[in-house]
Amino acid sequence: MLTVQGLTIQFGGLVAVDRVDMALKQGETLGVIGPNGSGKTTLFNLLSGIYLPTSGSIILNDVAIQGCSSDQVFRMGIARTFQNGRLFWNLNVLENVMMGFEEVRTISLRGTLFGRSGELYKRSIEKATDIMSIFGDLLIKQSNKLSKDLSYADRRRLEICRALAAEPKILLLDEPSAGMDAIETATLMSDLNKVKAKLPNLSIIVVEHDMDFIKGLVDRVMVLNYGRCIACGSFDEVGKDPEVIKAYLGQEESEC
Amino acid sequence: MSLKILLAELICYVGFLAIVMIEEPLIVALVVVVIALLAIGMLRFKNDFWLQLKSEFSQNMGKASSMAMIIALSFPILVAGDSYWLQIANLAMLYAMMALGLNLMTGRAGLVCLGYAAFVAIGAYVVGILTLKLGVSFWPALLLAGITASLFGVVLGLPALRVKGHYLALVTIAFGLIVQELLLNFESVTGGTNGLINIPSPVLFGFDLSTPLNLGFISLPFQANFYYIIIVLLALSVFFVNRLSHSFFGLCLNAMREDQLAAQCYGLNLTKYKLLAFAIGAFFGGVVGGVYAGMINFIAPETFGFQQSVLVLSMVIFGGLDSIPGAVLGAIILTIIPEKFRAFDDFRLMFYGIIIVSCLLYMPQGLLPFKHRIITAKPKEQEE
Repeated sequence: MLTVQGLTIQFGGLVAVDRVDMALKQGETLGVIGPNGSGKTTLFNLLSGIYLPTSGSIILNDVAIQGCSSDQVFRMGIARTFQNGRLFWNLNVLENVMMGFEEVRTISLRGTLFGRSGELYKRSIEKATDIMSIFGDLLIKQSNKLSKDLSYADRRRLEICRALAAEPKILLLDEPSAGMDAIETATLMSDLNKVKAKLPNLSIIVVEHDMDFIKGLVDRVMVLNYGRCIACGSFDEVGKDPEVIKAYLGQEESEC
Repeated sequence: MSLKILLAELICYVGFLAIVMIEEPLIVALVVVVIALLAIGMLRFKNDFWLQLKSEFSQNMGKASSMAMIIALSFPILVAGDSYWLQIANLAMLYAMMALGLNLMTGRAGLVCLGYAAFVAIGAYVVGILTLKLGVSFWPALLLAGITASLFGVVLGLPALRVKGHYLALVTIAFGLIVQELLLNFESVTGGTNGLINIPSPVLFGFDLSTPLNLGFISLPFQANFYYIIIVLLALSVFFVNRLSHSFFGLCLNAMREDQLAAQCYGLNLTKYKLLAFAIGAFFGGVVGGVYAGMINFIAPETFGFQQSVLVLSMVIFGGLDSIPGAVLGAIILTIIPEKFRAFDDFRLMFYGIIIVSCLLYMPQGLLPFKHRIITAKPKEQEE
């Protein structure tokens, strides 16, 4: 479904993502881990069209998307969340979710000026409420709050809802559990597993530091270090890989 | 319940008429201070009455504004043909339309524009040149003025796509200056510093709008004609801006204002939305300019200087960014009050400076702050 080949981006002398290859099947969940600064978020920015790659290709269902702008990429079915939270702060929770809907962008001028906006709104609100129900009533009961007034954990949840509202083919989650405590993280994991069960065709790529979270969610793990993919496989396989251990724990001093 | 709204509006109207009628600046100052203190007191001590009135208004916004319009229709009769105050009222409403247009750009879409007067100038000159030199009748020329201003809005929008925030403000200042310089130097078409004189007055259904309006029991000066024309245009503007703002289109503009990158990552074509915001905002400016040219019959470049752009922006900020009633009220107050203090005309710009600074310090949300969309604001109550 998604095939990435030789993806590279260079900022001056720094190669932030270096010849990364990956393939993602429909309905698969891929975890991307690696030390800080290893290029995980840069990889996301490349996939979502914020950065233009120096070389390499990204192919989504036989269409090359590496030159597309981020709005085009989104319309092709890749929705993302942001590591440090980029909600529309002065819009309320419902409106934030509604921004993921296609009809919000495609409404005609005639519909805007003379259409029956009340019904349209009502339908969208119902749809948005339905999406937010994956987190129980946590967000629903705060529908009218401005998103800047939400707690940190709720902001992360809202980010996920907004991305899901777009009904994407591929969902990119950039550190969804950042800033959550252990219990919240565990709840988020089970909620995301529920989403996976509900939407079997949705592919997910998730960047995360919390290893329990990764273990409980993903089918496959990819490890990045200095922009390069150093290992790829199931969680247990990758955990035994000597190079991964080296990247995370540092090289063992040789006794001599 | 709508009786309460009517009463409140009538009281405001009487207060407004009192301010207009009283000639002595000192007494006016006193009245203004008393009203301001009363308003502040009302807001500080959030008593039930005030809250109730507020919710009445927010629930019946359509009714309230149409009633206000109907009440305002009596203004020319009540000031008994005082042509000076009629003219001020006309200008106030034109400013209100400008503030609505600028509000769409700056308040809703977050694109700061300090060159708004340029769009008004373009509209005025389009009507001036078309009616004076080419003999086109006023109404198609007015429509064309709006469209031309929109096109210039797109022209301004194109370089503005690459810059944000302060840099955008600078680009728009430059745009305003360029348009003014063009008007000054294109003498063969625009008349240079002398401007255009003797622009013909519009004719509506065979009735020349520059002749007095005879209502049977009272004969009103010709400004009353324009008063009624402009109030209709203002009502239309409020209607359209309201529809745009409360639609999904307005929501997209809001999202763009909040976070351009996130908006783009959620599928918004920033180019399209920025250009549309500029074009629609500029349209109102162009129409205002056209009406102004037909009403005053004389236009010159200095009428549309940087000061006017700042003035309109201060109206928007004073009324409340992104608030439609705020833009109208801000424009009316900031036109009427300086007129009452004509004696201190030299300090006008300082006066606006003080208003902007104190507004930003003490009520950054303006007189009538933006409220969240009514429909999204209460979905759960309906379901529960």
